[in-house]
Amino acid sequence: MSLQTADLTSTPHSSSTSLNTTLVEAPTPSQNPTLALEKYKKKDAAKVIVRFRAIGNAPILKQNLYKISASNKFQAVIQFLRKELNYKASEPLFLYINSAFSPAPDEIVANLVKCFNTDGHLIINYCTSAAWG
Amino acid sequence: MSTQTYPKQYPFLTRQEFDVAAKSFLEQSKNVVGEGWIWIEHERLIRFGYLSRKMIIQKVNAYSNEFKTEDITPITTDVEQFEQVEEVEDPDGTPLTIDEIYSCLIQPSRLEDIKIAGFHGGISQQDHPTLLIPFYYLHPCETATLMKSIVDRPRSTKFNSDNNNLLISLEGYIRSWLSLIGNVVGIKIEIDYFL
Repeated sequence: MSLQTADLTSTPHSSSTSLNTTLVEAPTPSQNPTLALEKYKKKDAAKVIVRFRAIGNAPILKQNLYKISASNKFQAVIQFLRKELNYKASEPLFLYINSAFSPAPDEIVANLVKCFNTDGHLIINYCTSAAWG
Repeated sequence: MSTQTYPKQYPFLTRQEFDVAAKSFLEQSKNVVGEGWIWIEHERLIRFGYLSRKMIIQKVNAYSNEFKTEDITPITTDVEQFEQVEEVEDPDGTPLTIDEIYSCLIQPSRLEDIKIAGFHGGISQQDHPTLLIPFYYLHPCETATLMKSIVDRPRSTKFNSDNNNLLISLEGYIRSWLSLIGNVVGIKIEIDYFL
């Protein structure tokens, strides 16, 4: 599965911009289709900041702060981290938020930020522990 | 805010602690539409029940459906481990083979990871601890390792000492564990479990 977007770019912590963490919504039939499309495009372009935090023996990223499209699915974040760590699909890697909630791959990042943000950005912990065997 | 209790020997749970964790998970699941988890008591032994739910899943590249029963059940009586066991069968009751399990049930992105785990992969077949009929199960041996790892301290140099108490409560144990390992067999833990 390829990344859904190419929006994962690094950004210095000091230059973090304000966030637009609105939920991704589908335009309703009652709305003007053009207006609805424009509204969806604006929300689709909204960016959020995620901070990766290594747990236990997990390798630390050189750059751990990234800006990502809020409309991305969590699967994109998982794949991005695997790529940054140069981890194969067979190597264990678990991403989770706050009280050890590991979002499903199809969860929308915007929803996660809305519910679990810390000072406006999403802290994503990751560990490389084995899970079965 | 509801009372939080913690395992005495985290990441392990006693039989009684598993009961608390499971019942809490059951309550949390009622806030999520269509989850379908239920608690089943042992026929003869009191407080030897388990969590269970039944789902219909569609075979990949097939025109028939499968019926999947998922149980979460303790497998020892002293220092507790618990495992996720699954019975998957065709509508006529024929159990699926392990190859069909891998091809139809396991998420493709996790397939390689689970197939090479341990000696013969991360899924095997044995009798359900309570029902004593063949079920497929996810090997639980690394459950403690995983649950211990996720509460480990961050490796950041800016680690905040206020984060020392990172243990997962009994009330949150099942939902956290299932969110971590359930994805591999298509179990999705919704955000609503954590709100």
